Amino acid sequence: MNSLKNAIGALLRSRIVGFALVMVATFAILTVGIQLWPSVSMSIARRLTHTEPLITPKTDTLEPGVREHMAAVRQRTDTIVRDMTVQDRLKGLAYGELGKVYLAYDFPEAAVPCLRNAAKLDPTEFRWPYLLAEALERASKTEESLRPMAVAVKLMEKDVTANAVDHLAALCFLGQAAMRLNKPAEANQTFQAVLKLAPGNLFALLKSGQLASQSGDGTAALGFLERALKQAPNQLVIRQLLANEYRRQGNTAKAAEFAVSLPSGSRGLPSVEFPDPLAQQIETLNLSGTRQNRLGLRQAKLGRDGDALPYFVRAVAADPKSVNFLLNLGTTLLALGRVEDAQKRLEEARRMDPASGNVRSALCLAWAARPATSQKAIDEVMAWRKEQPDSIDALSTQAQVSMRLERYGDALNAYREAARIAPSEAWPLQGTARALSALGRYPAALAEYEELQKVNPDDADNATELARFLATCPDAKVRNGARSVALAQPLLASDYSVVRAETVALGLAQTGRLDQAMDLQKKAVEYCRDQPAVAACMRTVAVLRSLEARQPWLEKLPFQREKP
Amino acid sequence: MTRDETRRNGNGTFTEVPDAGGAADNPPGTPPAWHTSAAFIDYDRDGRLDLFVCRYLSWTFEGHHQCRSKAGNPDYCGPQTYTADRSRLYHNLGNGRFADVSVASGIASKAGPALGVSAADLNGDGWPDLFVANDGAPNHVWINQKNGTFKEEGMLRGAAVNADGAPEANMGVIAADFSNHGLFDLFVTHLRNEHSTLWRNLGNGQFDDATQASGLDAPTRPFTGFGAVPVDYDNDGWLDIFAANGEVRVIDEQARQGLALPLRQRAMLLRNMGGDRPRFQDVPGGDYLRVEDVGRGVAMGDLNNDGGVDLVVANNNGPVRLLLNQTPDRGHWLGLRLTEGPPGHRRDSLGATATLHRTGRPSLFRRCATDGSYLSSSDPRIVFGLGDSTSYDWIAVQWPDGSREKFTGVAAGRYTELAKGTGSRI
Repeated sequence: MNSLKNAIGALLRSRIVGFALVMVATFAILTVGIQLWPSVSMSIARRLTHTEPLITPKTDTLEPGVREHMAAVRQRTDTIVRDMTVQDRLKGLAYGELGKVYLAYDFPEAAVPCLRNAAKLDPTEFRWPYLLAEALERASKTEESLRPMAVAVKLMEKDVTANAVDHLAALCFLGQAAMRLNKPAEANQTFQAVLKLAPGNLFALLKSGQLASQSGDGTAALGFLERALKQAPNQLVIRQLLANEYRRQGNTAKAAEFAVSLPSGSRGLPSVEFPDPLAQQIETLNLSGTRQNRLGLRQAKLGRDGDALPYFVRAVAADPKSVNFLLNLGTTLLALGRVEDAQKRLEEARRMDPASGNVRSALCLAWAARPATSQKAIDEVMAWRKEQPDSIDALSTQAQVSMRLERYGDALNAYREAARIAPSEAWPLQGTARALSALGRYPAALAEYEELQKVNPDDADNATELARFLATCPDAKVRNGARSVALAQPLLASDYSVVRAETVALGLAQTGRLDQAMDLQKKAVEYCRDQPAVAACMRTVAVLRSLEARQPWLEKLPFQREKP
Repeated sequence: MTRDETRRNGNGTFTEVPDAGGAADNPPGTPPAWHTSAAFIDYDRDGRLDLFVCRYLSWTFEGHHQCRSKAGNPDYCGPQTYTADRSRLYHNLGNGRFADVSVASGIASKAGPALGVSAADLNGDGWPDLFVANDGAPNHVWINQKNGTFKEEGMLRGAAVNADGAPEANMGVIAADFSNHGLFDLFVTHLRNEHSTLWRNLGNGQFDDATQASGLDAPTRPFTGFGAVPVDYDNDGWLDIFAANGEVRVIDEQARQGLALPLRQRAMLLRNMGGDRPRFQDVPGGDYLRVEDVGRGVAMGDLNNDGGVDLVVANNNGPVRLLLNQTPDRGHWLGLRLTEGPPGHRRDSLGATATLHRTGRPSLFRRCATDGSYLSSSDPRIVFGLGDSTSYDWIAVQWPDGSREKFTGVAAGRYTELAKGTGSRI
């Protein structure tokens, strides 16, 4: 027994066994360490720099591209912040970039710890507390947002990379937050600081006006708002705020003078926001098809189909399974005259969602746009009407297809049926008027337009179309330049658009005021120089030439020139 | 509203009236409309209650859109996705039949995605007007022209948009006197990161956004409010606000927790601290205000007739909550039921107002109504919170036909029916 113990003792003392034991222990430590390293290292990193744990947003239902984008930035951040050799400032940058991405995709709660960590790790960088305040505000934590933004303002004062716009944006943010928290004195002080730096700052002028009004100083309120109106005379919202102030002061006549009249179904006035370059830059990090689609729609609404197209192309590339993106792409291609491309996209959309009425309608219109496929359009719309005799969408499509194929009698019947079953809708009456006009039944068309105007006196689109009809109708007995001008001029005064300006010009020409008409049209041409993609701008020069030549500009259908 | 109407027989039963005239949902061949809230209003003072029905958007299954969040998540579609519809006004012809007078009355002249409505005399001329809350679009203020027609004057009167001139996601509506100044103010709930808005009535139907000055901006900004009611929960004489909240867009934190409907938010009780320019405070009002539901409809009514107004909250994908008012140390109260019609056939006089006059303290001005809130209908009885004293001078009632009567000696601490014609004419 003793000899065995001695043998083991000798073995343990031998260098070979000692080395082997050390190797085994090292291997065991490494194995466990590798398993635990991510959490251990994160924990160590947090302890060393006092950072907060991050939130991982739920991403499983997001667009695939967005999911990948967020995952990649998160992974990069984790790698950097775990690396003990990386400087704190760079770790702050990694956290900050992740926070920006979370903000871009509208996860402000997830962005908050990232940006807090960034601000701690790089306390000299003004962007992190600035964006932290932004994230807190978006998470409805207004009170909490004040402190980081105040820190950002202080840091900006020492930072040469902070420009004046950033500084003003931070001050406007603070003023607005103070107003929301009902701290009028603080808010007022902040906005006066903004106006000292930038006397024409529209946002600060409006807010100062509101604060003065709240404090009962109506004279000061009007002063600020009138200064704002001088800065931006075309901003309707300023007129409305002036109307509000006059109303408050009991001056209803002045209030009525400034009050803005909105057409039926209007979504309201665009509000005045302060320029916020840092927040705007965040938006560009959003790579989703949804954002591209939204940007495309924004251009399309302005009549800029050419500018809208690349956005819709990118939206479809980001999410090829989205029927809406394909529909918007197809509709835009159709508007640009790329009929075959439009048909391909819309046929693809129809395969993906055969139940969508919007897609079906757009496809019918695309088929109707080419003689080779026009019969398909008729067959499809008739099949739709048969399948769903109650469908107002099918009826509307039938009417539009008939108009496009110049089957005006069929269009008239469809619009009349629509008017019967949906008597309070405007579009069937408008369509009836157009169809009658196209059939050359101009007095009847006028009666329809007038009826619609009676029922919808606030409908700016109808008023513009009626004004156009009165100015350009091929029937001289129906044309009425004076009434056309009376309808369109107030609309032009309330909100400039090329269509309105041109319509007033044509109305003026009808009343013999050609010089005034040409002046107005020249301005429209000038305006269009910077807006070549706006559809209405395509004909401004031709209208001007016609006015200069003293030739009447006649339209068989409003906005559609009669073939000479 | 369904295509057929039901008519109350007066004996606890109803009779179905097939195709009740113009109040039928839609003419044959048209897609069903998307109706939301409704309000009774005797707009022509003929003694019969007419009906205003909000219409929201023109939506069909065929025209359905798939909307997405900023990150591309399938998400709720905002009202901008669809065309706004035009609301309807139905004239009561008697005998349970109605005529659609939307076009003739001017109501159909403006489209708007309507979600909430209150019928109240907003300009103080004695005729009922309509306030319609439009989702994501300017509100409509329909001023009664006293000839069977209405004129929309929301922008002119300052209640169409907020103080920044921006329209909000207007949903639940309250038309009530929050300042005890004898005029109807307007309160409307909105989406998270907007705020609920209080428009103070300046007189003559002119309104001013008083949200920030009344302390309502920051407390309501984190919530998406739907139903809201003016409830003087402590009977101190100042109308407080109860609002049911619930998101329409996914709350990421709740989604991460795996909640089935991650849209839950707590309701809120906003206490009116009183004064000519009232200030509100978000107050803890019992355990329920810590519970997160997907709140939508709210109705109020004194369910146990104890003078403390109770609440019923309808939740999306959750239980209906009955909140019994157990506020300790509630003030004294006086309850009224305003009725009109021949004896035996009296009905609630919707649209009537009652003013309780007190010496040395502000008069209390209340409305007999079931409308307002969001897709909800409340108890039309009026409860005056009297605070620490039961004394008052007299009660003036203005009936929907414009006539006024004075009542005295109505006892506090219980409900009293005041029937039209039983008071002394003023």
